[in-house]
Amino acid sequence: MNDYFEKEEVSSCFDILNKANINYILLRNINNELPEKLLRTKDIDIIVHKDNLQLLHEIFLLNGWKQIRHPYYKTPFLYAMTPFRFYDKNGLHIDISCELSCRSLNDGEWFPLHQKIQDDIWLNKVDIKSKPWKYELSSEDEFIHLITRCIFDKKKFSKEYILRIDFLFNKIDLEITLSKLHLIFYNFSNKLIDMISAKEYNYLPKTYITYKDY
Amino acid sequence: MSNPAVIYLAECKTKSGGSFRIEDNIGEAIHLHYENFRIDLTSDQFLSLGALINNAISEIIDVKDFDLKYFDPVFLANIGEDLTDLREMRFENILLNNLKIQRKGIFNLTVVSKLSKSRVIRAIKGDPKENDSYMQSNNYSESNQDRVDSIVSKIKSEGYPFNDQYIVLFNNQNIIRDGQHRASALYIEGETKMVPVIRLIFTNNAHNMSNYPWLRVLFYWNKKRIRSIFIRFYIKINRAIKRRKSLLDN
Repeated sequence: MNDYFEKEEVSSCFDILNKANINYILLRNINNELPEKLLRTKDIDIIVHKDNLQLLHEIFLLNGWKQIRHPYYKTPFLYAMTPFRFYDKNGLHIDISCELSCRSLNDGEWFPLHQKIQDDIWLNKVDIKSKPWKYELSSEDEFIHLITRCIFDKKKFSKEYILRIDFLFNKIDLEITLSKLHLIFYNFSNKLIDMISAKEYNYLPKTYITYKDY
Repeated sequence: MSNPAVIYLAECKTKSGGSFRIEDNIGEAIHLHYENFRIDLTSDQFLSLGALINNAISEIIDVKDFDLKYFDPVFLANIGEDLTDLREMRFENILLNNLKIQRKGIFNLTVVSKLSKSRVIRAIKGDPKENDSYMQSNNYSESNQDRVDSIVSKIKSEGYPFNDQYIVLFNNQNIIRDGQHRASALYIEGETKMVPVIRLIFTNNAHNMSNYPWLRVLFYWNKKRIRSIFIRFYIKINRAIKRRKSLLDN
């Protein structure tokens, strides 16, 4: 068996969503693994508008997908956050969320980012014509998502994420990005940007945790 | 609400049943919560408040030689209420071999054993299984093994005691109340060593640990069970008596 999913398998998943006009955004595509280099051990991550969640569920079931228990089913979701959903078809998994979130430092609970960030991802989503999926996050929103994922969820910056963050850093509107980062990192935001600019990724998570200039 | 980096620094119920909590909202502020009341502090203000409280504690605990600097702050927080019973503090030298620790024994029951059976000693010697499964209450983002390695390294480079902090024993017991990591690192260096410790003496030997903590687990279970069986039995007997009485009256 091939270590990767076939391109058609991955594309067909997006076809279903596109035909049903589901309002969704591809959350990340680290290393450009989609659509033809997705390892069988990995998932597709998308964010779906809450209003379309039930429709997505019905469409998936109609097309042979099964909803299965999410790997994080035991982790609490805070502030009325919609729990993740996980679907499977022939071993291909799709991980559905309705909000940008990260794991709280307290006990690892899932924590939705500020409402302004949630609203902005739908306003700013980027139309993609050349790929099987319809929309991607804007550079600023993807940048924020990857930073929070590395600091809060993974607690480190891996090579693939650094490459993507470096790429996005050269594209983002710094003022807009900083204003959103302030909603998450508060006084640390400027220092965060300085450290990314200086590529001090290895020290970033610990510097953040031990930050005390506030 | 929007700060995902909230770390609970401390949480407790006050004697009057109120809830008290200290949170570090990284990048934002330190919050002190008492019921519906909240105080926002900068890091510096919080540390100044801490220093003030340290002074207050030192004045309240009027025991010769007692000084907060000799103790780990997290350990002090755990025994905070006990300190009102503190009568005396002694510096002593003790053979490492005579020290004891609490550990998980057969059927995972808590037992008191010699220091040589410590999970930390096993972790230092390359068997971290039991120590890795132990839930740490502090040392955020430091793994259990990291903590072991760091203490071993500190003892090697700075000796013991470092930071003026001592292994702590209570009353006439040699069960380590704080300092198992330090004692274990010293044990590896030489189990027949004499080491300085602090012995806290409480009024009426209060706050001693049971030498057989596993008994309490069984006893506690039986006490509850026996009580509930007794109550049910009493209710049944009572009902039977009342039924008999009403039959006789009729």
